[in-house]
Amino acid sequence: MKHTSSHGSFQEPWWWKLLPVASVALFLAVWHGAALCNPAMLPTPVETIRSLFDMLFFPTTQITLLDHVWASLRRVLIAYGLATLSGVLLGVLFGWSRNFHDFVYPIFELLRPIPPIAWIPLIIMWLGIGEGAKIAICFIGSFIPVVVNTFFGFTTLDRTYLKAAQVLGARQKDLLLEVVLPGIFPNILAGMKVALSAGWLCVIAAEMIAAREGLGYLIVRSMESGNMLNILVALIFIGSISAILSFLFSKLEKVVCPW
Amino acid sequence: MVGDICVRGIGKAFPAEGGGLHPVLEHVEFVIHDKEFLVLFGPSQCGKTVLMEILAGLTAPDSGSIQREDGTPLSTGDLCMVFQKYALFPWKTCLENVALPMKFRGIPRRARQEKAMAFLELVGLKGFEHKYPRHLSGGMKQRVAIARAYAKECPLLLFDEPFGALDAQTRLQMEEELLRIWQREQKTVVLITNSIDEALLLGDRILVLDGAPASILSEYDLRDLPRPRSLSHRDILALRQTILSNSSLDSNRQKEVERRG
Amino acid sequence: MKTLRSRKKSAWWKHVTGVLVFLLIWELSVRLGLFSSQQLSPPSQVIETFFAKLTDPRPDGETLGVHFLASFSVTLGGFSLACLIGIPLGLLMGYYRPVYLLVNPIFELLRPIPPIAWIPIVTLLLGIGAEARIFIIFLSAIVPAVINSYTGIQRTPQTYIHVGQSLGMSRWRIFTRICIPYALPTLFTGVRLSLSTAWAALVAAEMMASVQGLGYMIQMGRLLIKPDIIITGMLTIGCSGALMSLLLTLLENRLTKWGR
Repeated sequence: MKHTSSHGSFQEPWWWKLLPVASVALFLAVWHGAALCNPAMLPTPVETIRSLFDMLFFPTTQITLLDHVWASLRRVLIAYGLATLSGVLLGVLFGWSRNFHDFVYPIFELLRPIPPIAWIPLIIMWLGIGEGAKIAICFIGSFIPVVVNTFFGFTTLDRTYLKAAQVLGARQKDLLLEVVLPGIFPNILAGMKVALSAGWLCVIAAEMIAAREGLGYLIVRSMESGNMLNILVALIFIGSISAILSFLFSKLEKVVCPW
Repeated sequence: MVGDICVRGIGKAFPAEGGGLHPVLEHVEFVIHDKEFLVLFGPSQCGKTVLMEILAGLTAPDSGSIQREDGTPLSTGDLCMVFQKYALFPWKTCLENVALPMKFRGIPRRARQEKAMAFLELVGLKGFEHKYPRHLSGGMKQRVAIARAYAKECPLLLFDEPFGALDAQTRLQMEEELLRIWQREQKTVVLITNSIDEALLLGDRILVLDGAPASILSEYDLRDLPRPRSLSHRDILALRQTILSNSSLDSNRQKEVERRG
Repeated sequence: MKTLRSRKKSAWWKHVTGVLVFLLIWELSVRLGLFSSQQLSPPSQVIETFFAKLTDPRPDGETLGVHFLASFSVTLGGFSLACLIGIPLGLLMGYYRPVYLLVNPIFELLRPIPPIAWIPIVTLLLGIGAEARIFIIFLSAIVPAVINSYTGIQRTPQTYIHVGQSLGMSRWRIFTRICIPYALPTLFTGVRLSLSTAWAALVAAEMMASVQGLGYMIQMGRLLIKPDIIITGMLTIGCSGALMSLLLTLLENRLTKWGR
């Protein structure tokens, strides 16, 4: 990544490499200091890490930390799968059929600005606080970006590709399968990437409001009981999984879409 | 086979900003002789691409028709087109790109891959079958596009300023390549260009397309000049002079006024 | 496949018909008993409730206007703070590598955490007042602001920078006169994203830890089993969010008249 201020043959001073390390160290130091001032409110970094290991490897509760992690992941993956399939389908319909787009898209545009979290009360009223509700909320969060990005692919597809295919003898079916779908595939992937992090966000939110297991549930229970340690551990996990999911998806992108 | 193609009375107008119609082509008429190399020469933005798209069946003309020798209208199945922007599908390898028109015709995989290989060899790109277009230079991409157009195995080939995006050196090479392929494959070719040198090097006939709205303003027959041509040949230089002086803005306007009577 | 042939003819009657059919199906599904009135309120009811809530504080304690203002002010506070700090920070990070090296690790540590997950820790430390909510929104909204500012600067083509150098401009002047204007479109996308993130985070914060605001209102709607309140709230949230985004876009068009 070429840095804007580095002009040409600029050599970075050696001590620049230490800056990230210094930064993290400073962060930990501030944390530690704040914890020492407030032992009741804030555990130190060391205590947090130790607690994390304890919870992972020596669980004392009936539902272990890993159980919570899996509960959250499971919900996201189911919702994400459903959202991707139906989202691509709807996006393609919007792009392929002008009539369908004209009639149905305004309804989508009306519902789109509503944050998925705002759907939670309504969904809970309809589906109770079971698995279905949480999957439904994740679904909404993931569905919207997939549709938006898929449709955007249609509007930005270079028309020359379509003309070229037509003169090469393509029929409608060929246009869709050989040109349009591969052509918008990068857009679909972009939508899926956003959808994945949106889904993770929604599952945590949904669990914080109505669940009996899951990382969101863990963090809200800990808030109610004032257990800062658990909150921090859950936070670390939530953040880490989010980062891992993004990372895995980027790797997947390179494999699936070599062009 | 299509034989000679008659282009009659083609007119096309587009909605203009602020209402009304903006005519781009008016009463375009000419004949495309079987197996000839016809060049349409004219400045940029005069409607050449619109004419090409009408010939290719991508756009419908407001008036006029394009007919084959037997009187039936020309259809997209009779022709193929090479675009200035190559339009190679980046998600397909070179081989897959070239094999595509055969895939649309329903030719089975093994057969079409063999044929595609042959066409890639024809354009001198053997060894690049499994590369993606993004790994190729501009000239190479255009060669793949040409191979792909020929792979449709149709009698008429349209070239819309195919070398406009290339540097001068590559352009010369590609012009020679195209000539070689045309002489070998014996298909009818219509090529649009705004380069007078390209027109003189390649064409059996040169039709000058210009004006607003555009129409065919003059025709030059080069069939007597031997190939391969040299741009410094006496006759060619004379012709170049003639065409350029006739194609100046004033004389074109003049001809338009005369033609409209 | 007509969308791709981009017919520009206005089809507004199709849009209207589509929406009307949708509203009709919605209305009928409640009236005919497909959904009980406990679960779903028909559009007619929602409209009625909307107008009622403009002046009536029942049943959740405040009028729509009060809720909206509470939400809006908190959002504005957190969002402005996020932009005021995040944008300059992002711009500097994009231009000066030491700044990037220093700030980025912390940023990358905090970025993957979903906005809503900050609520417990902030609530425990700051309570459930407006300051806590502003802080939560600040944490959520700062991420897109920084990232887009940073990306905007990064994308400045080297050619422009070389032009500046050959004109004898100092590093700082290149930064302010070349890189920042070039980064404006990306920056504005970031600002829009920041606002929508802020708005979503606000709803979350209000649903969990508040006694006022639109998020609180829809939560109350659930507890009181009044779907009309919920839907009114949801639509208000949605429309306000869209309007704010629109205003930002208009502002952007004003400021970047030199085109994309």
